[in-house]
Amino acid sequence: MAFLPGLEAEAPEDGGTFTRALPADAVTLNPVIANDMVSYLVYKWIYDPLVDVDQDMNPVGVLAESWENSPDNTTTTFHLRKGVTWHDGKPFTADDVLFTYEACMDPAVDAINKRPSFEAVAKVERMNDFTVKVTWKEPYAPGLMAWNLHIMPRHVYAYAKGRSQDFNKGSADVPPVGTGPFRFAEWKRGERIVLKANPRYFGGRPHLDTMVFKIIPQSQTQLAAYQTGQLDLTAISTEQWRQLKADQALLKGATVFEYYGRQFMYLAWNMDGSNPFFRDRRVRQAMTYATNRQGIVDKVLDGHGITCSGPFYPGSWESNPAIKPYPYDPARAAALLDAAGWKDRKGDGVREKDGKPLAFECLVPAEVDQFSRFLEIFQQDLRRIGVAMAIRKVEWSVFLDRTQRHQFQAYLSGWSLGDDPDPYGLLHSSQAKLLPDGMGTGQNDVSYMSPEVDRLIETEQRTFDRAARQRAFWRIHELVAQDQPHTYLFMGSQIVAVRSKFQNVRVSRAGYGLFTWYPSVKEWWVPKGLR
Amino acid sequence: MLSYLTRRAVLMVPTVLLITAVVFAVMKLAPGNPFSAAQASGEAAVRQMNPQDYQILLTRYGLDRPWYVQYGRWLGTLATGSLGDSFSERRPVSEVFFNAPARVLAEGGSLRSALNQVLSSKFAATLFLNALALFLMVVVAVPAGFHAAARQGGWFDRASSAALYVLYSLPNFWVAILLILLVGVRLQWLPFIGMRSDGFEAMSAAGKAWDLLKHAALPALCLSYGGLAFLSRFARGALLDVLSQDYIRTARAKGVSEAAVLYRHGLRNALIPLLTLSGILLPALISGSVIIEQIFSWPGLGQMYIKAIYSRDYPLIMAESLMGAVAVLLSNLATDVAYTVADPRVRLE
Repeated sequence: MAFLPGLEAEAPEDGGTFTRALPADAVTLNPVIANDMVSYLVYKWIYDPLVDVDQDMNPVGVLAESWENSPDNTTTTFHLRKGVTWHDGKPFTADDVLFTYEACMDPAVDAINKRPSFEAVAKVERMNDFTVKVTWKEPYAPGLMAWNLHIMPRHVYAYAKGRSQDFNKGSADVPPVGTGPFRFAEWKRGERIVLKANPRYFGGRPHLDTMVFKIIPQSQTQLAAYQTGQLDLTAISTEQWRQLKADQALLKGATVFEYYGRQFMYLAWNMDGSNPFFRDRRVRQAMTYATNRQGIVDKVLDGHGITCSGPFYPGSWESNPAIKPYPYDPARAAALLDAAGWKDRKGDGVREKDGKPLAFECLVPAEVDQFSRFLEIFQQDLRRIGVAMAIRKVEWSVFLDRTQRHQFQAYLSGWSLGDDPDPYGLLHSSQAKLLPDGMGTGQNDVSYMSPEVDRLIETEQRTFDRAARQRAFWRIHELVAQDQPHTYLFMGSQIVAVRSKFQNVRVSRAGYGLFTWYPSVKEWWVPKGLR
Repeated sequence: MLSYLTRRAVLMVPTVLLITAVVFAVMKLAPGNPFSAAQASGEAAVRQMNPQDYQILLTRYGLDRPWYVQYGRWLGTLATGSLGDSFSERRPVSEVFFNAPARVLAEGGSLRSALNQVLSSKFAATLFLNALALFLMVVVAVPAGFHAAARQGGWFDRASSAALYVLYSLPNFWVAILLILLVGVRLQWLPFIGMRSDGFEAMSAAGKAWDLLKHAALPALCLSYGGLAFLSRFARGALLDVLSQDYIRTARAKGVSEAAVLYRHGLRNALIPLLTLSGILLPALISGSVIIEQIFSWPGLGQMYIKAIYSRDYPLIMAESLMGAVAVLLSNLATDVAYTVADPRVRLE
């Protein structure tokens, strides 16, 4: 970190504006119906959740001062913070928590992505003004993070059954009123959103006066805006980083943060039996040995990334430190394919078995150029061991449609587990089922069926002791490394430059970056002389 | 004339119906729907929906019905004077385009504040930028083309056509980025983000106009230079055509001065074929430019349209297509009418 000499010891001062870019306009600032990342980046500062994650990804109480489980873990009691007021001065109480939960659960409300996290909840009760009791259908360890739900004011929306249409239309007519560290000030659609410090925030006002979000879709324009002083922060792509290193002046006065994002890239191998290749574990292992993942990190990403061995964030408590990514070993891959009966008998460079060539199609979303570039390199890698992989670029909606219907042989994409590392959706066999209309139930679109992993996931979900839960995750990690339902590739670095005048800027140690944790920006400040 | 206009207007209705029906059907052929696209918008971390909830959503918005039923419903909504509600913006489509002047009036706002709503809308942003680009294009290309034709084969003719072809072949997104780096970042002469400075509201009327023009300068330049070659060659050809006519030879034979031949007889007649072009150019005023608006963060319709397509925002796509279709038909009609004014030989019956 580039501190100015002498400043680090000073007490934080209030004042100053922080201006950042958004890649698109927010859809709505109503947290119940919002389901896009951009909206979240804004409403997160206006509203508070009961529980958030801290810099190390541990749960931290925000509107909930504390919580405890019953001895059998079937209920969780939240003790709410007293004396918290909404931006309009009204007091925050348990009624607001219930209102928000009920709005999420009302089928008439388009709370598209909120409801699944409450599936394990049997009921939510108001015990008194500042106590809420959640009863679980059965003990469910990942359940706590469902309460990273931003609470909305009941008195503003007075939302009643039958009025959901207005509620669904978003907050166009109703300026958002939250309890958060910043208050809503202005939204010029397509141009900017402005938030102002909440002087009555329960945790003390944020040091910054104003936060401005400018809508700038193109990353080149964003960088140019940073260079001309119109933004205080810019994301930097690997390619831009290469240019900037040549022109150091551009980064003068900036603090650069680099961290591995939570999204891991992976190749998915469809094991539902629709193809003759990937049901055989040896074939999947061979695919992983044959693909030079470290080579891509080194050559394409210029070293800005880390190879991974499973879906868990490297270095986190749930990730098993003993499991290392497979080395790049084409000879071993060839031996595995030989053992599995895939041999090049015709001498045409492609292996075959029972008259079928080892040739398949790999889907990739066309919108991200870099994804195709990765895949082209893997295509060469695989050709070397006699595997013919065709690349099929498809538009994002087509990609989603095909993968959700399990209509693919292989695909390349990215994914990340939620705030809780429970891999149920990705790896549990129940999540591979297809519904009558042909859509998959969950994210297990490769149809990975492992009774032992199923059992471990079911155990881990009921285990509240972190050490015991960790043992389950570590064993899952080990099994997944053996089975290779996916070839886990790497996590790319995120590079962010922030003007050095901002003090106390910290990055999450769990891949959540500068903003997606609590309290982050609330603690930033600017010395008077530098405003 | 009046009966002609009525007939044309009536004929427009089935044309618009046909166009929108085709757009609707094609749009529905593409896989996905507003909710499947929203499910994974951008971030992989977005939690998935329950299959039951997904079904409820499809039913609530009628997305599980065959396309012609959905088209019928869209027409029904249209008949009530509404363009429906946008999925991706979660507000009425008319507000996405024009903001909410009607609501401001209904809530007792002044006419002035209602007008301000429209003036700060996406529609106005796109119209302003494209009108400026078209203006730049016409004021440069038409005189340049005429000048080149008046001295056909002269140095100006050859130099201008070479220069314009060079411009024509430069992709505008590339030029846009170069201009941002050079004029915006290095020289810091012109702004390159959005259409207004911070503190725009506090400016005087003249200050506002100047601010808007400064912001529009670079994007308008990028939008216009590519069309210069086409338009100036067209103007040049039109004038050359006229200059080879018998009546020009007659005028010259009568001893009319060369200037009068050129300006009184030549130019006026050469304008007629240019009218045809306006039928093509005017609809572009509202369709906007996806790439240029993106690069310059221009808060207009072009940027929104591409987002609407990716997010399968059917009402928004349909509204944009409808406006495009109507604009094309109306400008064709306007062109035909303009012919009668410019050329007394043309009569519309």
